Amino acid sequence: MDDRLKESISALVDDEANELEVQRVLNSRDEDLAETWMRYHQIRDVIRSSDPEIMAIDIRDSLALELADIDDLDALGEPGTVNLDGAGEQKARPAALAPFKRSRVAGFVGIAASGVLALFLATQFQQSLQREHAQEQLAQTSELEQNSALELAALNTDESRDPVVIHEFNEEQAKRFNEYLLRHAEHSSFGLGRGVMPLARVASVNSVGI
Amino acid sequence: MRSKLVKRRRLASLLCTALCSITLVGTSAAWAQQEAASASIMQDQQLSAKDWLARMQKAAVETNYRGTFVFSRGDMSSTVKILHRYDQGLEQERLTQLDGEMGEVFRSNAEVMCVLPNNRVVKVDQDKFSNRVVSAFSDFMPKHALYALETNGSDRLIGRSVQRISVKAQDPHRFNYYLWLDQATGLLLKSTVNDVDGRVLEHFHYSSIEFPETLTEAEVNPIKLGVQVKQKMLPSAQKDRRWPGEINWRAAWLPEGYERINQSSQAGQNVLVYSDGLATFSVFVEPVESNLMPQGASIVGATVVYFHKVMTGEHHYGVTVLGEVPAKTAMMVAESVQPLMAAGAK
Repeated sequence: MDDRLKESISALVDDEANELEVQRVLNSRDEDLAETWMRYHQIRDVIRSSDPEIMAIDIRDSLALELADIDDLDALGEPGTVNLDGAGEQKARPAALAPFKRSRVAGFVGIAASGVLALFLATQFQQSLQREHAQEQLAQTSELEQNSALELAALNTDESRDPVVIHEFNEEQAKRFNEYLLRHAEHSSFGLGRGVMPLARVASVNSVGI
Repeated sequence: MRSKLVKRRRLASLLCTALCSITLVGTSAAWAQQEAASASIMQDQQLSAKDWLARMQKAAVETNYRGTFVFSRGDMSSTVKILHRYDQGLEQERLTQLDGEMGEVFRSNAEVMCVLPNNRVVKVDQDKFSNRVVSAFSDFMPKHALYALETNGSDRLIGRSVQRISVKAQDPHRFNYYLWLDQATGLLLKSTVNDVDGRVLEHFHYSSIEFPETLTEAEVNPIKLGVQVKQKMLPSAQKDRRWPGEINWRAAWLPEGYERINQSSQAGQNVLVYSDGLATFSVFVEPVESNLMPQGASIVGATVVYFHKVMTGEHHYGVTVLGEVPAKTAMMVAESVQPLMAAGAK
């Protein structure tokens, strides 16, 4: 992913993209596009302080420890900006922090902070991406479920027996099911089964057109 | 003369007013006393969960009530209007579907009839199958080992005070039940059926309810309401004519605590009913050709229907287990159903 694309994405995230930039992002076939898009949004959220979870993080202690590990900041070489690429985990080490002299620690801390934050964000992002994938799959499944007249449920057993197979009814089967249910409702009309539940089951089955 | 008459009238009306006010005061005082008394009874006795359940059973049968409830399973829910009447041992019920297509369910004691759109009536043919529940089971309480009963404090529902009860399964062959019972009448106003993972399989609650003193039979009797019982559906559990007449069936495996509760007087009966006092499942055994159900399980809320095709030697039959039990339990029962030949039959 080149810098131009990154800039375009960044502009789009901030609602500052011009026509050309929008087109560039939309037409991009870069496989890291989605990832970058997500990450930029997260960073934007952090900057706008909209996530209380992230805002509650206090990195001063861990930062102090990191800085204590660096004996000679001057020996770290040329200063550089914090790299916010996908492999944030590797980059956000103390060595990646801009190597300023100790006297410039104040400014250094700002960049270091964002470095550690980048690490945090990268980890969080990985986790949330996994969660989102799972949620997407779940959403797709529940959509299917809503479409069918009867609820489909996946069952897992903890034993070696095969789980039961799930089926949807056709019209004939639905009618037969209703008959069984009626008879079963008669059987249930005793003891604690007394009361409306068995009949409520019959009545509600009818409501879905069975 | 006139003055005396007037005086008498005045006196009479005075007395009348006095009497009325005394009566009124007396009545309200008595009523207040009664309310206080019943409230203190509730508090003093600290009814156990078991007492509450017994009260719930009684109220379900003997209370006249009219209300609307919502019954939901998963993403589906339906609103149903209900009338329940009890008069000298006869219990009648009428449920009317308020969502989707019009449909009604009528019950008179244990006989149930379904009136579907286009006046199609589905009714179990009582002649072919008689289901006389053993009287010992009419007040069946679930055994302690099977469920843990607990009271969980009081709450407020649709403007009424309710008592919360939990009935928790102690093994994987049954579900958990959470109940909200009306404190004044004992009637169940809300309940959920949950599986072992805490998922709500069924959710039931009244959105409004009233308790009239009496309900007329005309309101709950389908015949009197003009329902034409034109069609009688054949009983769903047809016996196979090729089978020996005396063949009986049994479930070789049963989850603990479930007992057979139907007592059909007919020999060679092919419908079995089992219950643990709270959860019930029915087992139908039929000629395999006439059974349309797909192999395996289908689940509607808390109800599972499991179909199992079995062929042993000359006999081919289809077993259908239907009830409010976990699917795996239904499967295990269905697969254990086998014929018992009566002596003398081939």
